[in-house]
Amino acid sequence: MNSFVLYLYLVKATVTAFSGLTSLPVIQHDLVDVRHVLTESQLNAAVAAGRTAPGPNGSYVISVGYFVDGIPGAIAGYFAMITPAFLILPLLRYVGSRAEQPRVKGAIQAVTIAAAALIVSATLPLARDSITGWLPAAIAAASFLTVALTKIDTFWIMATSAAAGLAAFFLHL
Amino acid sequence: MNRAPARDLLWLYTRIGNTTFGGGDPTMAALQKQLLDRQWITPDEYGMVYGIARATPGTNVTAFCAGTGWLARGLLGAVLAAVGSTLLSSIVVVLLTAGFLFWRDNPLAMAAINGMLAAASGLMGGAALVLLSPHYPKRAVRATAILAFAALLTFRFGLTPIQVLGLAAIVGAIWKP
Repeated sequence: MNSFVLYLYLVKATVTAFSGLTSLPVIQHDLVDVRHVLTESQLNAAVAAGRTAPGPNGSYVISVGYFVDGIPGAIAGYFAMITPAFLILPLLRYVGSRAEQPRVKGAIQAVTIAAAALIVSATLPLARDSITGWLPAAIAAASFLTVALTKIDTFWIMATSAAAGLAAFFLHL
Repeated sequence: MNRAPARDLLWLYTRIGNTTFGGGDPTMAALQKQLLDRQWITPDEYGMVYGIARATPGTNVTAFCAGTGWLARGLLGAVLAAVGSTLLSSIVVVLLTAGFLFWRDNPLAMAAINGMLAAASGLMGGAALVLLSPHYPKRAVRATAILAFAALLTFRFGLTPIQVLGLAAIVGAIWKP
């Protein structure tokens, strides 16, 4: 499949989805069921690759692109992933120009508070999967306290946690 | 607010976007601290972009990066943030796709990733706390009521994030601070 056509198929899926993996049914329908350029097992491997790598879960579309058309397909997938992100700019411009109006200000503050509840709800399944013993629990607690109480760069939290995971592996903890 | 130097901005999004595991929420939580500490955006702007990114088609976290990059440094900032936060991890995705079975079965790689996933959950809890802290104790009643309302909609009624944020915005517009 031509990379540009592949891009159009993938961007059709990403622009009609509102989170990482919600584009999956569209891709499955278009590329697996209708065009037959991707298999179910390749799609599953793409999702797993997207979840294993750092960054957004939606990055699985890059893997889909790679399966369909190699490196050019991966590039098409990359652009399909980031293209819809720029739709936020006109939305922000519209809201931002009205940010000082009391009603808009109140709405923004309420959205910020609600975001905290949503972050907690997103944390719970991740914590259930990742906190499987005393060491991951200690890493999570240390990470929480570091973010809440210090100005230490987040990168170092992640790097130290990876090192702790490796140390536990070597020490058979 | 400080105007973000382009190089610093690119470096920040490259570092955080490509080293945070667990999807978009941990990345947005990790960026929150960095953006607020540098005073490139305010807590309210963070909340605004977080909410609008949820309602933007595509990958929320990439929209979030484009939005916060735009507030910090205009259009150049939006492009640098979106590309910086995704390019290296995208290369990793290609490499993983090419050798997926090797990585999945590599215990050393999984040990490091599991450590980072545990850190990500703690980091997200901290991020929620940081978002709430400006509202306490001064606007505690309003903040607690809105928080409880959002938690109820999320946990009890299972509404989607967009629905929760939309309803919270309506409550916030009516119940002004």
